[in-house]
Amino acid sequence: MKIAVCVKMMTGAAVDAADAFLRANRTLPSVLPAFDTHAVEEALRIRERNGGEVMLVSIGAREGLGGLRQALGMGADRAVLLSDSALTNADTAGISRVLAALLRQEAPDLTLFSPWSGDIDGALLVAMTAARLGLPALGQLRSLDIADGRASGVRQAEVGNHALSCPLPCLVEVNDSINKPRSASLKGRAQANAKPVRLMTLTDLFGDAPPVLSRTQIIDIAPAPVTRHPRLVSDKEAAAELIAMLRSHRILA
Amino acid sequence: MKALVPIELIDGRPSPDSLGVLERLAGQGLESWALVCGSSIQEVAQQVARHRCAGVLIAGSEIFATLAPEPRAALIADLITQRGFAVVALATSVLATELAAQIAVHCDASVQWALTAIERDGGGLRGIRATHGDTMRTTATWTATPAVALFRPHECAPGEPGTQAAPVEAVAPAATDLPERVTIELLPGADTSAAALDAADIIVSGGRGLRSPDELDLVRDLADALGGAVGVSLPLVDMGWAPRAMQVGQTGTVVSPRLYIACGISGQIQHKIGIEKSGLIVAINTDKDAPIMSFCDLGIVGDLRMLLPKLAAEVRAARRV
Repeated sequence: MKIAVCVKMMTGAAVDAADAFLRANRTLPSVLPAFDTHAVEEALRIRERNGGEVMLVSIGAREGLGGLRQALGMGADRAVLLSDSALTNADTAGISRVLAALLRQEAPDLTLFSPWSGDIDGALLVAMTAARLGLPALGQLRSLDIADGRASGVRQAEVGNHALSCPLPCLVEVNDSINKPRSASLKGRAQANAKPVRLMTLTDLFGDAPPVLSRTQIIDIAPAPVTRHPRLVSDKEAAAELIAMLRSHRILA
Repeated sequence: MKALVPIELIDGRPSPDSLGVLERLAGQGLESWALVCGSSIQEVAQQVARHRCAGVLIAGSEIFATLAPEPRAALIADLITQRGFAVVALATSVLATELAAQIAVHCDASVQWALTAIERDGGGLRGIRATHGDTMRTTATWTATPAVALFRPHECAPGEPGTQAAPVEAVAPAATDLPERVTIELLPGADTSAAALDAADIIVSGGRGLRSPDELDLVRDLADALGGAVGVSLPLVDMGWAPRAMQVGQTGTVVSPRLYIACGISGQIQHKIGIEKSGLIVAINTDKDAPIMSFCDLGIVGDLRMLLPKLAAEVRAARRV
């Protein structure tokens, strides 16, 4: 079974904007999604049961190589990293075009995505990439079972839980409650450096006909409005302050 | 500018978020049409028609019995072409996000997500998105039509239904030969506590500041005193101290009570997104520099083991007066 794991798709306007702010000497928290290992862990477990190969797919800056080596150290077999300066202006839809082309080339049986925490909408990216490939997608799963050529699992929706199922090949987004990722062993880390990593650019994938990378245009980035003005009190004042506040907001009579 | 708003049904009723999107678009002077898909939806359509829209399109068919987005996406793609909708606007939900993605791919649309607002910009439209872990607002335009607009969950509050009803018009579901590749079933015995959090007026939540599962009783006691529900933050669910259904946050339940009390919760972004629609936010934390202390109304610096019993007693005393 060939399993692809999409990791650390940090890119696009968010990163660009952050750079602009850093240049202007304003503080911004990191916009790079934390390297997340739940999908890698799930892929390794599926490989342990079914055999096959786990490959990593990443779109982002070359600096992302460190994160890929970490996942190779956990046990993934190889990696593809697509970097291109043209991607700095890509939006989620644009990234899904690139990702779909990469996955079409690799044709995995199963493609896993980690939960998301960046400024790319993960659930949107998975569903758009799947739609471009004409493949089914299961989003936001907290459990995953691969059997008889099908992927099935459960997710939490706004009301109740959904049980989902679809045939392979498919794309699956797993959330962070699905497993407890292993850490890379010393031996694993040593082997990671010897594992193949293919570095690509958009030209390698699309020749001289790159896809539309963005259909949105950023015109302004500004700090979020401050909506609350916190008042800090000590534990001694706490009860009186809380009761007074609840009364003034008519939560207590 | 004509906009289409697919109405998500929850337990056969229009979701407040969807009705809120109608309200937002009306506020910007867009000609918005609601779309209701399902079987036996006449009554729902009449309900929706009392909200601010130019009209309600209804597609009554058994093909919408599935939760899967494919038949809805195919219909919406048809409607965009036939009726010239320039905008499709939705409130983010697990299902709406997948629907938006499929519409976007079908129609080669321009997409913005995590929207906190949309604004008219001359003849065009621009969206304001929460980005950079919600610390920034990014304003961007859609550079192609149709524009797909996904509002953040709980961003749009519904208006009061009016006395006048907008016209209701039946449309034929798209002839779709899409096989149903993804089966989605709503599991029986759904998490009612998640729904309870969703509807709660008052929520008291515990986080990593608790030293043992037993200490959740302190949280529960204050919630009881206030007549509220109990929530937890993500780490407590990960440690197995509480079921996922009790989780407040971006990946749990996004809540909007009148009063939210966070006990021993540092306020990571995923929790912040889950609570920021609350009326009052009170934080109890030993660390005065915890992130939550910057987005609460009242920050109590102290040990929750001492404070919670005391606060519960004071609240009970105040209610007896």
